Amino acid sequence: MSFGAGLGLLVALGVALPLVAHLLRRRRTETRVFPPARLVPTATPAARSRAHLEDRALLAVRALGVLALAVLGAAPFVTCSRLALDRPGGSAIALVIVIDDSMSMRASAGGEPRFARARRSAVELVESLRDGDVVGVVAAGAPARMLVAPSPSRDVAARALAAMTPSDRATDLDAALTLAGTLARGAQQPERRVVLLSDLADGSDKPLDAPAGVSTWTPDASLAAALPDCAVVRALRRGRDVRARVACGRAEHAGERRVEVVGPSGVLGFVTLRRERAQDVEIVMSDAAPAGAQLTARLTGSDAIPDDDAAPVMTESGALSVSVVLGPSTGASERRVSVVEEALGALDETLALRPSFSVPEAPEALAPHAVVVLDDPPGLPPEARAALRGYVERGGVAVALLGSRAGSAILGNTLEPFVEGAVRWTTSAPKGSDEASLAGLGATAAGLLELAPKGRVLLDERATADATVLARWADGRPLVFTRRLGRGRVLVTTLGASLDESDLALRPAFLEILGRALSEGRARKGNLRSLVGARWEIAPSARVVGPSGPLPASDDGVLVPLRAGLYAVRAGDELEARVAEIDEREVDLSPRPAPPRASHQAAGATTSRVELSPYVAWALLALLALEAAVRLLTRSPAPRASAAP
Amino acid sequence: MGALDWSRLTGLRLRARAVADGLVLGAHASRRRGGGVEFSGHRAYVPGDDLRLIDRRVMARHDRPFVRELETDTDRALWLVVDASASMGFRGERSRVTKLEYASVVAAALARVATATGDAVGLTVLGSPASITRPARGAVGFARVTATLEAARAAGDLSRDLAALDRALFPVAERARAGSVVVLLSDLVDVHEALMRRFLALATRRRVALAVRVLDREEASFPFSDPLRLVAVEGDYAVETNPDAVRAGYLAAIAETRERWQRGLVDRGGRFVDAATDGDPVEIVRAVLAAAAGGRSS
Repeated sequence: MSFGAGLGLLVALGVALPLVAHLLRRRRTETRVFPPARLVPTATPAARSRAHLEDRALLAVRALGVLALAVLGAAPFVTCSRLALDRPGGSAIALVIVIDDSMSMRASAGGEPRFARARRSAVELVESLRDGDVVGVVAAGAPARMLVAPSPSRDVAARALAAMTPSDRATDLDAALTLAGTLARGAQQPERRVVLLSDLADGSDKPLDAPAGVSTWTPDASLAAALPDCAVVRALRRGRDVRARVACGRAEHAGERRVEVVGPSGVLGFVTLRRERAQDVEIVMSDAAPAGAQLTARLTGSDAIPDDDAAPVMTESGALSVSVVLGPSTGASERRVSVVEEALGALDETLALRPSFSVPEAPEALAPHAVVVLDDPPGLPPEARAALRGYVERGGVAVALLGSRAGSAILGNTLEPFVEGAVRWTTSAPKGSDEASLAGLGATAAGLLELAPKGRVLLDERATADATVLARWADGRPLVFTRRLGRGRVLVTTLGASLDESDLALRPAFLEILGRALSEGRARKGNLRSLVGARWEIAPSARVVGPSGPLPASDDGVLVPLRAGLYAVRAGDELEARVAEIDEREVDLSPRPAPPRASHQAAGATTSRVELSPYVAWALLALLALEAAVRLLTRSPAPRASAAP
Repeated sequence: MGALDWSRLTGLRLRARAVADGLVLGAHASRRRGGGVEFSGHRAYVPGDDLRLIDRRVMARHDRPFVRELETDTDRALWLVVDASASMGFRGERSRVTKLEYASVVAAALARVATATGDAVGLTVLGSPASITRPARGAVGFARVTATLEAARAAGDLSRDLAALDRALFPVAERARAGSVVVLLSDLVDVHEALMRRFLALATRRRVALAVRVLDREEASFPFSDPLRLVAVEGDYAVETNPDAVRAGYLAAIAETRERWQRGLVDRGGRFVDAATDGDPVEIVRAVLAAAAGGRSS
């Protein structure tokens, strides 16, 4: 605090005046001889009551009043550490705040978590805005997300900031800055600024690029500090062995630390870390390791983020299983690898491909598979249809590549649950697909424009009534579409994989179609481990218990885990254990170099010097009101008379 | 009190006469006329005795004249009981005499009236030490009473000294004849709680008990306004109070004391008289005489 007129503080010497005045005013009680004193009731003398109050409340109020006067006369100023936007031209500002909610923000900065500090700074910035400004909020935890589009409503931004919670996400600063720059540039305000509230740690050492056309400011340098951290990324159990992945920000951070496997009865095994940034270690548990108990792999010692020093031990599952129901591309007698198998193998060589020539008639037979691919099925008998429907509704992913055989299904066979209604094969097919409809398949779909089929499958219109069409033929008929069914999903093409009918299987878009199916399968049941922030498809009614306790129910069947650890997903009688893992790049707390000029105050912000006189004046008025209230309360005291002795 | 300046009067006798001379003796004389007659014995006839008093039955039995000796009102003494405890020495800021001085004047005036009408006057002083003056008639009786009163000093604590109370009142109970008038002059403040019972016990055998409460004007009206710390004279007692707030309560306590004494006295044929030291003692003496007359006639 500083004062504009320090001599004004001399007024504070007058604090003794109320005391002196009080002592002068206060008279001693007169003592008189009075023979019938015993007949006089006792009563606290009014003057004594007043004096008592004056001794306490009024004297304190008056003394405070004098001090307030002294401070007021001295014209006090305080230099606040609050962030505020500088306005050299006085013009309105479009501000986009990028706030990092990744795991590295759990580390402390200045005695408080980095995230809390960053959020407080963001709130101060929002509060410093004026009418005419707009503010948006972008979260830098992977994937980068826009929380609030630039808007004049400061309340919306403040509420969004208040609703943010620290997570175990990875950091995607580049995408967040790009998104923030895009939002800022889209605003009408002449001044466009991006404020980055982050520790700048995302595992990369490349300097950050500031968005073009906007000023970028990293106001709190104390957030970006290289701190030691190690984390157990994952731990998988196979028998008595536990294989753990451990990552450290620097190799020296691993020194003298070890990984322990802990069960209900205590430590079951451990291994000392090597001085490496990332390492896989194998811990052999003692014979006493219980078979079904939940184990935890944890690091000894301490570091900047204690929360990532432990991970649940999961039983190592086999490779992702994919069932391929072969079609005409592979003859049953001359078994060779089908084009579908080749495409799946190209996508993921670790897949466990299970080829067959017919769809099992029991859903249990399909349950182990993450994805079932039917290559031009000649219709499905009722038992197979029921098995497929049950499999998909329980979370499975089924793909149907409909070709000429699908159009010549025998009587009684249909292609439900993929499509409803009649399926016809026609040899007249338009060349290529509708370009405008290909956005759903991404950049690789461009090859479908040159698609030259010898025929195609025509469906009833109702077949795609509730489906999402990912690609259409040039004449507008559906080429690729997908539809949710229960907890699962079906994906259909109206062209088979047979090279005799088209070149679809030779185009990158075919891999994209099968890749999507694999991703869906992994998200649903194939792989129970994923990164924090990945999207999980679960049953809408499923109850989920995460590392921090029960999670609110998801109406749309989508769950995004924000904390690393074990999640128990219960849907009906089925209990599924999933693990959200941290991105090991997030363990590196070394900050990236900030964008050029981002830390300079010319980037658009400053600290505030606030004159306190108005506040002191208000306090003085309050004191005067308080004194008046005390006087009113003590004006006519009702003395309590006791019985005469 | 009129134009009488008590502080400038030197002798109690003068003051008593000044008071008593304002009262014609007729008030007491009427008591002679209408007073009852009690037989007290026989004695030999001497010339000059009222022939109507000759007891013929006794003369026949003894063969010489005897007259009946009768005890009239004038034979019944006036007993003055004057409180000289420490509280009676109180004099308010606006008062010229202490309560004891005022009570002494009233008592002496009563003695003057009594002796002037031929009654004997006895005196007992409550205080430390207690003093008793035996009943005597005429100037001697008056002189004894005034001398004792002049020697009395306000001292002693009667609030706890029951023995002193008994030492003072027992002779009165023993010697006061039937029909005697016992007048207590006291502030009734800080007196032992047994005083009332002891004094009312004197109102037997057709004795008349009168109590004159003598208060200073400050005690009677409690005219204070500023907060005070009041210290009792007798006993170790002090109280801090807000006069404005407790005045009503104090006056109620004063009135309650009066009511209690008055009720007790009236039940036994006595009377209660309130006096303030700034009041005219003549009126007090007159009131006492009237009360005594009422008590005897009742």
